[in-house]
Amino acid sequence: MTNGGPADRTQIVASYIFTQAFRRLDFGYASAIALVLLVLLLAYSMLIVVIRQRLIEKD
Amino acid sequence: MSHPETVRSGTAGKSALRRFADAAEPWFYSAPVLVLIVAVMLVPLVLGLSYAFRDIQLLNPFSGGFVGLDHFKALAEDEAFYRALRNTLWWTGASVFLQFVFGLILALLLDKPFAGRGLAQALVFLPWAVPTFLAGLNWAWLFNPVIGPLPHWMAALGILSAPDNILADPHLAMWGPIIANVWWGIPFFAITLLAALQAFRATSMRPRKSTARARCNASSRSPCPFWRRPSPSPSCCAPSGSPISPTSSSS
Repeated sequence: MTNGGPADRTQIVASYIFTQAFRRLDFGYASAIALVLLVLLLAYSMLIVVIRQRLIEKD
Repeated sequence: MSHPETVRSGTAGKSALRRFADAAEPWFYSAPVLVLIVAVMLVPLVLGLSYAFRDIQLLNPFSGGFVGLDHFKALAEDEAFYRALRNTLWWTGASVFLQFVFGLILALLLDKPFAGRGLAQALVFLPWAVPTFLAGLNWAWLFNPVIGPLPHWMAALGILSAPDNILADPHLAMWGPIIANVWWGIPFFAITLLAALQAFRATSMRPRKSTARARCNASSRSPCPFWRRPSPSPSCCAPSGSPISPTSSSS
């Protein structure tokens, strides 16, 4: 909708990866951001799974 | 195709070649798919991961060397990345919160029977079927101050002082994608929550342990508010009339 919007105000990580890869054509940096995002999401997912498991066991 | 050797080798001792062929047989059958998956998924995946540690710039023919962790060091100091991270959290949080609130409202409205309920449910689910790309394009048009109606309506309502493009305003721009995403995501929450509400109702007639939930459930005359209803148990899905069905055992 906004392509990252006025002065990066609507830039999210996924669109930042796209900008780096396909507008600045810096695939290396974009891949590094994607890897960091993957690690962050994995950590968050594992946190959710662990919390859910605790809640289920308590019930 | 018949394999008479296989039948014969079942009785006699198998040769090493025969045993290898037997063990490899399933791999040969799945080879076309395995080759495709490795070629179009695993190899690009590993290549893409390796890019993170290499200096790959498409317009620079001298790039391509390994740079180790340089990209990650640069990333740690990249202000634009942290801004993007904050924007992601804000966008996701606001979107999911609003989707949940409006989805819950819709689900509670659709929970009670009324005339035309089937049609209303179908209409509520409609935005979910719109491709995200088209939804974004449509909302970009709706917010457009020249061809879109929304800026003029908001100015007429006094929300905006003038029919400007909120997508061009740094302080308001994020609301455009949030509203579009909320519009698109409400149906999923509405239908999921509606299904949960109806599963709750199916179990709510069953006597349970003496808890606050069970007490307000025990008498069907005063039904539970939805947040007090017990979580659905597998027996909710049993056909009525069977020994474990919720209706047959109710008091």
